[in-house]
Amino acid sequence: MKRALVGSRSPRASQARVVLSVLARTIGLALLGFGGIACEDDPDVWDTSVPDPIVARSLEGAVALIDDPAHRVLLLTVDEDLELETTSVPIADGFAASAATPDAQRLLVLSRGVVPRRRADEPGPSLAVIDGGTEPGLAVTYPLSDPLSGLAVDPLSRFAVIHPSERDVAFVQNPNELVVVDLAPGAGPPVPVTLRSFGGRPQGFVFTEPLGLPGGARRLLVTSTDRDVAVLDLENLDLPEITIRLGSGPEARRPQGVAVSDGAPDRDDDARIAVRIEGAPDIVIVDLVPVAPEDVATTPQSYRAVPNVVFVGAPPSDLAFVRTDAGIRLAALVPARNMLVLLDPQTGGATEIELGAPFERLSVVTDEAGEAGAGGDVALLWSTSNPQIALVALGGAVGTPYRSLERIDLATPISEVVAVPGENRHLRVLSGTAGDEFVVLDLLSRTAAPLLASGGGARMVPSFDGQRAWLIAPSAAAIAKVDFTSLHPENFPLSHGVSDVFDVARRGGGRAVIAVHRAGTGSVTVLDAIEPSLATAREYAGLLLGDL
Amino acid sequence: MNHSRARDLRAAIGRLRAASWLAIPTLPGPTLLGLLATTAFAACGDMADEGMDSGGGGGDGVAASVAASTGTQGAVGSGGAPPEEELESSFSAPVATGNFVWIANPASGRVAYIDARSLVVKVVDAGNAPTHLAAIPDPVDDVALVLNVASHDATLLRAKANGELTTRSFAVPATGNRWAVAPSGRWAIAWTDGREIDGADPIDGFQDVVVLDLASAEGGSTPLTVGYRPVAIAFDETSARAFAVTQDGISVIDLDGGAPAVVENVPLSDDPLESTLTRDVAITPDGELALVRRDGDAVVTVHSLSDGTRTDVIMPGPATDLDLSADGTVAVVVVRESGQVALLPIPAIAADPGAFSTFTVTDVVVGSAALAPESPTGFLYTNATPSPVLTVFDTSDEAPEARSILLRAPVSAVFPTPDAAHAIVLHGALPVEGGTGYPASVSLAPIAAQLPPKIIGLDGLPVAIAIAPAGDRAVIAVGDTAVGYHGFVVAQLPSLQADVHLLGSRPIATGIVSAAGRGYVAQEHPDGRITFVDFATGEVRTLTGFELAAQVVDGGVP
Repeated sequence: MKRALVGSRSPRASQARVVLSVLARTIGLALLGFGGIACEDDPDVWDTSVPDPIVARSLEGAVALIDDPAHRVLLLTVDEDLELETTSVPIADGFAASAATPDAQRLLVLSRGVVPRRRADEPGPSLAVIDGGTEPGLAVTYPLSDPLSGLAVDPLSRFAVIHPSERDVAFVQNPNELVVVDLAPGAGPPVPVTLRSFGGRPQGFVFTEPLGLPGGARRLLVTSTDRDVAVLDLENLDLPEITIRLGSGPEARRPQGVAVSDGAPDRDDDARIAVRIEGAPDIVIVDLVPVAPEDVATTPQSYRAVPNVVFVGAPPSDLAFVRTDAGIRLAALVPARNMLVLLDPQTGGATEIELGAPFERLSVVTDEAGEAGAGGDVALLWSTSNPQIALVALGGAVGTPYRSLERIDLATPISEVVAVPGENRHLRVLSGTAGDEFVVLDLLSRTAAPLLASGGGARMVPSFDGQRAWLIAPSAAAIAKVDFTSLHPENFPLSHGVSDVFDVARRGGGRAVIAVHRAGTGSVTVLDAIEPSLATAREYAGLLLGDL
Repeated sequence: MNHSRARDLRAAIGRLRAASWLAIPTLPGPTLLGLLATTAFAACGDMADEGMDSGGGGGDGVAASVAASTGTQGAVGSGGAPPEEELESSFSAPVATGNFVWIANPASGRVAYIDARSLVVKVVDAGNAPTHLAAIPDPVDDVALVLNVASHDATLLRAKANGELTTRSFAVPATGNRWAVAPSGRWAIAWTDGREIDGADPIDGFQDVVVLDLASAEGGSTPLTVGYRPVAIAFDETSARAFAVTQDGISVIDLDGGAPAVVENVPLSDDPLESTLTRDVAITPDGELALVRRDGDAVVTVHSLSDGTRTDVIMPGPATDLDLSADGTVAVVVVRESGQVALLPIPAIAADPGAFSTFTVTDVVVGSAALAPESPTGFLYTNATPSPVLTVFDTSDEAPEARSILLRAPVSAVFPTPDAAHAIVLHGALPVEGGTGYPASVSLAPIAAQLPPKIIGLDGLPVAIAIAPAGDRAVIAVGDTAVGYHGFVVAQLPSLQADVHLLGSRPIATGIVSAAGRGYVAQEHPDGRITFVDFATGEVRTLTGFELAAQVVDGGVP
């Protein structure tokens, strides 16, 4: 069955003719890949259109282009000579979602399969796991029982959860059915889990770090629905989850954010989960404590969840557990009161820090700020409405719950803070709300260096090795490199507009930057990432016309 | 300290003293049952005091709580912490039984019960607006009774050792805000303390009481009528009779025959127009005698509750305090004017009004007495004038030798441990030489050993005190809404170590659950809040939102 043309896009066969002149100018394996046209293993694929926009994902040694119509992922790697190699990995019909693991080692591609599936030979739903080094390839494909579209990935790259999303429109659907995937080598197949429901449906997932719990350290999956929180033991998926209902009926309260603490390293009875409630001045702190001896026979769990309600005076906008001289505290930002509230999770007692301005988000940056041995954490605060950031060093001083509170004025409020990895982990990239101003914040020297972009909507993406960042903007046919040592920007005008930019490891060493262009049938420009030069840059076009 | 705060403190301490007499000790246990009997009897009719609270606090040993509140807004922490919402706490003051602390939520119709050992919270449905709780003595189970004020009934809650909880309902046709519970655990009486009803109409006599037979399979409930405006109800030690101290006298309720019935009213004065607001009434544990002191009067009257006869005992001057020993063998009457203390032998004094001994305390003003529940040691002090001296004597000695202990601030109230080995002494707003920045303070005074006392400054006014039956721990809850300070002190005896802990909101009651080795402080909070302290480890844990805790589902057996 021929695929109909969609909009102004052309079938790949006609597109292939158009790009011939471009291909004549290109060097490298795109031509070789184009030679694959002659193979015509699946002639129908030539009647499909190239996806627009192209979904691209970054891995450590490759860039993945999701070619849904061709049921494949095209992996781009770069060799020592900046030549591009492509690897085509088949995926099932009905691409639903993709995500790279945070360590950039694997790409997860979720497909719904053919829906409805009327023939046994039609592909069903599946999850493809693709290795993402400089020799990328399909690691494993897991068949799934149901076509689901939601995908959440563990920050530690160990687990993934497949879940229903609002895009799933089956006749009948249980929104509380999840599939947990263990990505560890040699792990078993995905495990379906149905959450006990009190009328809610999953809205968000938090994968905890290993927590010291009664019965042994393990990781938990905290699932927020629109009215409760479910805690699933990721190491014992046969166990029923623990559900903390936040109310019932008209009293139901919607969780809006979760923070987790392992507590003291040498204790297994002081882990906690804090839940922020939508529009409420309350926070629910859930203590994970041992099961009482008389209840051991009646519960399958090795720990129990004890919720406590604490009051912070107005709805908090962000939470984090922090270390202070007095012990672990829950830090809650309350922008309506210009306050950072430190809550003692044991007693509910609160101590306030007047910030002098509203801040909405916080992150703990103690190690990066060089104060790991100071006894108290350092919190970075920022705001989408107030052109300031603040660094609060907690604990220590007489009469105050903090050692220092330093506010830094900026030219614009901040919409996003991105950590820089590697040797420059003491840096943060702050993105202005308009997308035309960035700040490189040095947490050690407490300096904030601005960088200006000529157009709005720009993005600044740190490289995996943390040595530099790349900037792109929707209106610019260019990329720019900022070296984190000198903060010197270098601009590189390119032939086409850029939708994504990725800094990847090259085969044989070194790094390359791949700029994915918006236009065309899969065109990219490749430059040396460390010593970029247009003189050595290579352009590739029609990538999605190859390897078919 | 300003004047109004000083006045608040004096009022609070007055209520503490009154409440301690009616404390509900932890159940069961023969010693504690005895304590219940004696404490319930010792001074059930101090009409001059307001805020007497027999339902709040609780737990083991001596516990006292104060309903005094200068505002409803709580505050959190000590560092300028955020105020609580301007909401009245939905939860009433808790009571403790052997293993559980019980807290009623009138708004939800549920009662939360917290296992003090594991701190597991469970809830059970009660009637409509469960409000007033009482601990019921039971040799096996944890039993509590809650009065459902909107559905005019009561729910008996019985928690068994296997975790099972059963409920039974009893009709309570009359309103009520207090419970009186017999030491046997068979009888409970719901009654109304009119002093807790703001703006009560003089016509409202609150004379309806309801006697529940908790052992009755039929849920026996008997409405009765007692005298005008009862202020206390107590039972004799055999639970055969109950006595309602009212402005008409003492109404005697017979429980030993068929249905409960009011069989007699014993007037406390020949003058029907005598003010009833300045009486101090004590009833002996056997229910045979009632002793009455009147402010400014040198006559202590002894009334037989069996035949109504009266004996006038003439003191050497106006009696300023009357206390009855826990075993009911001696009454202590203090005459501040002359510094004399009279020891009245019970029951001999009823037959021979001159058969009492006196001794004089010299160089020190004494006007009040406090007696230990399980010791003949008595304590004398005054809070009418600033005096930092606590005097100790032996009530079992006809000619005791008084020993004075110098404290470092004027005494406001004295709370002896059950064995009188120590005393917890509150110091109030009276002037301290050299001045002080503390609004109040507390001394931990060794009595059995002649060691120096330890004084601890308090950053707020004392709200409630609980002392463990073993006398090894005391919890002093402190709350000061004006300055936003809320906390509690855990005193360790005999080491006199005192640990101060902050609270997130204003404390309303405190108690000790000895079986769990924990003390607790209940606080004002719209979702209900209670803080437990583990006496062994010092670990403090606050539970807030009891019903939320009960909604956790772990996949186990419901």
